Amino acid sequence: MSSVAPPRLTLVTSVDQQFASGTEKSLAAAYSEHGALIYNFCRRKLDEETARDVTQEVFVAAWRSHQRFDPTRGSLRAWLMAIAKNKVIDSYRRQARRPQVVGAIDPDWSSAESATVDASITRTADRMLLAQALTELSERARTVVELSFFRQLTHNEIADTTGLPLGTVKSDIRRSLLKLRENLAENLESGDV
Amino acid sequence: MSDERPMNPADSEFDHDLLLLEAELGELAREITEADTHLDQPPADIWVGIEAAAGHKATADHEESGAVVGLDQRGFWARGQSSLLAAAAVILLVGVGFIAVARSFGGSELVASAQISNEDLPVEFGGEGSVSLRRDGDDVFLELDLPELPSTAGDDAFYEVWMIDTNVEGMISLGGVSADGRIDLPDNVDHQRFPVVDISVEPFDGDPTHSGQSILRGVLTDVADA
Repeated sequence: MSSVAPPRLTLVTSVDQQFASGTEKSLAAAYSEHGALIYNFCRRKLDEETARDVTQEVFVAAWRSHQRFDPTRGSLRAWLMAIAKNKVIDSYRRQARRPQVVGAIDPDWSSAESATVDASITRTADRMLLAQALTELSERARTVVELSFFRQLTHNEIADTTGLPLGTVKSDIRRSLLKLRENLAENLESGDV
Repeated sequence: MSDERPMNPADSEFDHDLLLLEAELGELAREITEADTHLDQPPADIWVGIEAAAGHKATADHEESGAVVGLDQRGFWARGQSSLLAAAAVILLVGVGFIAVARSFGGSELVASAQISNEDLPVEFGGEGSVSLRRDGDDVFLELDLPELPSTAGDDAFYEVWMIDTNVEGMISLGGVSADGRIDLPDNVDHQRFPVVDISVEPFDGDPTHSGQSILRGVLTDVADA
């Protein structure tokens, strides 16, 4: 056996990092964590059968392009959602080219221009991503952020309401905003996947 | 996006970009409906399709070569067969620069043995070692002779020993690598059914299933067959 001390082992532990590295377990882990979100997003915009197909396409395409995912630029969830969004838009366009629209697609498609529909799909994706990310904040941070977002209180008012020091409110909001932004970052170049 | 709430002078210490972000995300948050937050579980056949599409090539490679396939190809690591054994047998490897276990267990009978190595595994360390399956009365155990391995101290991880069938459809956790290199097998474990000995790196993430990060692997051969 070698007498030379081996290099230290660096473990990659987060699902996002594991997926970027293409480690064996990461596809199942990614699906376990984000499959419901992607499927429900697809289901919001597509009929049942198409939603199933597109969900599957999203994860297979992501897995085959995992090396293009950069965890430093955004979350895996946002990257998967960006892929899903593009595939849903593609699905709309394919259906629009058919003589008759098949399936129960989003009602705003039939009366709106393509750009409007794209914007609607994007907005739904962003709302679902934000809703998920909000649930992952700590209880205190979520309380502070919700007072800002939903009751639209100033930081001073949040401090008064919660009894927290103003500096704590600001730092909670700062950290939360950066985390939320990371969870919404698309991290997807055009034509990547 | 417009911010219905005017920027308050009290917020002036806050970074301007963050205030804009707060306003933008706040506007988006106020549009969230119950439909955005309620997630139904996707039908099970979606994952089956994903697994089949993503794992098709490697499975085909396995069938052609007869080699032990990668642990991701059958999805069995998601099934959690090993939780109780793993929980009972984990031994932390901390505070040491490396491990190099090679012990002799005299008086026992050699039943089967295997050379284990990192060949065909996506790791640059691990080298080669050996495993002996021994019987001492009613006790059956593995004797590990491992190469020097990187310390897991500070990495929140440990090395775990597994026995796997050649179709990678079932596996048994034997727990963490022990300091003396001896790993006792549970009663009635059939090593001919689970002849693949696998050493993996497992993070302390609460997930009892195989991490997929194997560093050493080999196949036991009965002494009588050698």
